[in-house]
Amino acid sequence: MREAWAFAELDAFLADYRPLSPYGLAAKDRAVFFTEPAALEREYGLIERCLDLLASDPTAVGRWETRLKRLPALDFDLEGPLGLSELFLLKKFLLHVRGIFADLPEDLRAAAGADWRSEELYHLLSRGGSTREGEEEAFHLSESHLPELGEVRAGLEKLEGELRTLREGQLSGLRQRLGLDFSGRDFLLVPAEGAGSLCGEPDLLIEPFDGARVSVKPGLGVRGLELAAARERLIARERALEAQVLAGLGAAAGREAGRMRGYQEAAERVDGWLAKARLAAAHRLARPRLCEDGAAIEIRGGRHIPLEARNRALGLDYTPLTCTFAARVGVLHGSNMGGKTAALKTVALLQVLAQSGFFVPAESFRTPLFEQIDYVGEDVREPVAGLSSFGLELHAVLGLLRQPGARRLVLLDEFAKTTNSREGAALLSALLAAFWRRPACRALAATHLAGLTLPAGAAAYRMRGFDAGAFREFLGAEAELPLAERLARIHRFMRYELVADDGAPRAGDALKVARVLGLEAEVVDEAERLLERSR
Amino acid sequence: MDLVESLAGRTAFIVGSAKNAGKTTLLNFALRRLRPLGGVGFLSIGVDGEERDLVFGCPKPRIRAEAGDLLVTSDRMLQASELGWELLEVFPGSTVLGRLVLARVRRGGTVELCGPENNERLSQMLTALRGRGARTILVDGAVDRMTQVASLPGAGFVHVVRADPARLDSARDAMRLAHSLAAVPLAEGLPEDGTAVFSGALTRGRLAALPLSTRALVLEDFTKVFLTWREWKAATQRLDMRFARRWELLFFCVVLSDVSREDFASGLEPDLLARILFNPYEVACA
Repeated sequence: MREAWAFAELDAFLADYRPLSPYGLAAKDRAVFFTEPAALEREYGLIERCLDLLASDPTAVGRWETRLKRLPALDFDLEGPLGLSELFLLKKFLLHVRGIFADLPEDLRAAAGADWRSEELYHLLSRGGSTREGEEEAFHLSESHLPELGEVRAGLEKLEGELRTLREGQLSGLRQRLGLDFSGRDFLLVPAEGAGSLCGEPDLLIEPFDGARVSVKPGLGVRGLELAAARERLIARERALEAQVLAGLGAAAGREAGRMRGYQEAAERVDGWLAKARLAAAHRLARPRLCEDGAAIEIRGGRHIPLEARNRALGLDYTPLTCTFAARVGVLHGSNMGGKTAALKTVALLQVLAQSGFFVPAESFRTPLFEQIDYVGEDVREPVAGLSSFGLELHAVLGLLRQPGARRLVLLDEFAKTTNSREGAALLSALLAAFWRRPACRALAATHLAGLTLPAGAAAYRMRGFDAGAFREFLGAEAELPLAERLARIHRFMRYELVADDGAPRAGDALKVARVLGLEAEVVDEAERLLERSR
Repeated sequence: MDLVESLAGRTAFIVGSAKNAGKTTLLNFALRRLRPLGGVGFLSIGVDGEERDLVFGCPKPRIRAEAGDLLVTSDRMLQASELGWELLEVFPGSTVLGRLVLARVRRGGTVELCGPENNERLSQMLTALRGRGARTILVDGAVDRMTQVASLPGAGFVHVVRADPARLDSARDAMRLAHSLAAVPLAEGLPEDGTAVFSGALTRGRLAALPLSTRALVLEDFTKVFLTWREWKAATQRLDMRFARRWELLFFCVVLSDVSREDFASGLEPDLLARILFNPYEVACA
């Protein structure tokens, strides 16, 4: 199905779909595809609920979104040994999940499966709090976990104090006796000449620095060494006790690993609904209406947002798509540059979005669900060694025909356009007939091939094409125009509405387009004469 | 103004001209001076977990952290330190020494630092340090990480230079070059005609290959200059040199070995001399 996704330009559209948590982002990458109406209707209902909340209580939604953004990825095995960082991340995760779950309205909480049951673990990881207000994410190994840890830390603090007092006294003595001021310095460089007088000082360590200077450093003295050694021992004990605490916390976390996975899934759902609601609000998206298998696909005011954006960038108008595809098999004719592919892309985008659980860019969109959406056409197929573009198309079609039972929507864009037009038309006619014989299959083909034979019951559509009356006024007024202006003219006179094709023979607009694009008048005139003669 | 105190409120990268130039010693000195002026935060660039200097084999000075300091290191380094700590953030990704964390010191002691390998992460960490209240941020740089200094807006750097008799001239020339590069203006308002723009390194070969009609040359930043002081000086006499990105030289810290200050300073330009902090561990006995 990824060809259909690419043809629909889904990725370009979903650039504006921005889940905030790592879980929502992972779900975006997984690209869920719904095929059951009940699950999809539920998804739509929850997006609608979030849209209501965005309008009625944006402050609350902002709070949840802030917490979703702060959720860390728990990218480690919760049942394995956990280190400092992992426990910090777990505490941070629990803090924000807890906050979101507590703040959600009851119906959303239930729909998300946001069932908070980890109060004890959360408080265990939060023991001791932070040294600063407002730093609720901070984590440390509190002495409240082990009384001995408190005793060791108190002992360390006492030793630090003694060492500080000892050092201050020592530095003061050195300053008074020798004029050496160590304020803010671990050592000093003094001239080697005369440094000999310092050699007998018990509180100084002296080492050569260069030929002219020696470095002098206050030594600790016997008492200082005893205190420093005691401090080392206490730090080692502190680390051993901290390791015990870490192990205990890790074990407690491991016992709740299953719950953590549940919380991640709940956060992923809430994040997805909120992001889909934001997307719907930003692009004025509509909730799709689902209908039974075989019912018509009805589009009113359907917009292919990436195409619309490109037109806007070029200063061109965009015509939304309105049409009803009632027949199981349909063919879509139209001028060169008349909008056939754009119409097909719009159908693809709306259908893919709807079945991916999104609202759609249309005034209204009514559609049945398919198990599969397929695209056959150029540009998005992966190359297969030895196959031409025609060969690649056939390769893709073979795959579709081998699965006759699947409820699928097949979109074909300019099938067989690279081969002889008569054979191409015959092949496309036969292919559409083959799809018609598969009752679960729905097919829509955009083509410029004439002379198709369609199965009885199939429908033909055409893009309205050039407005010849308006265009005629411009004939003869050609000058040297830049390409952008020529494109603007085509857009100005092209009517992108899709209408039923009555089958009456009608000239295409290729020559008019060629003229507007700047092909020499002499050549176009000759082509028109030849066309007339062939009729 | 006191050069070290001028770092208050800034993000300063301390980079060295060579291994063992004295970066960490300066960092410890600067931290002591800057703490009374507001919260300090510090980190290093890259992973450097050796107890001893890889080149000289001597013990490396450790960073002394005090209660209230903010620092970035790995979780394993933090556990191997003497510090009491609380974790404020764990950054994405991992290093060979564990995950990088932002910690506030609860009990002082020594610690080894390790930090991010790339600019995006570095920028994220600097933002996190600022957000947690670090008024001044010091980054223990590395000889080969000058590009990181150049890439962050608003950052300045302190260049630690170690000079001995064998490297006296080269050290002075390196300083002259850095000082001159710091004065290069941004590439604004240059006429297109006669201006060449280099995206890579400026080497002697590329300089020689420039058309004679070239009057101005735009380089990305100072890290792209691979010329000696003399080559650079000659080049600036014929070319208007500009950088695309701003950078700031805060000051030089010069550590002399077997060289007197007078000998070192002789012949150096006065404006360069004004930006030199001589080894601060020597001051008290001078």
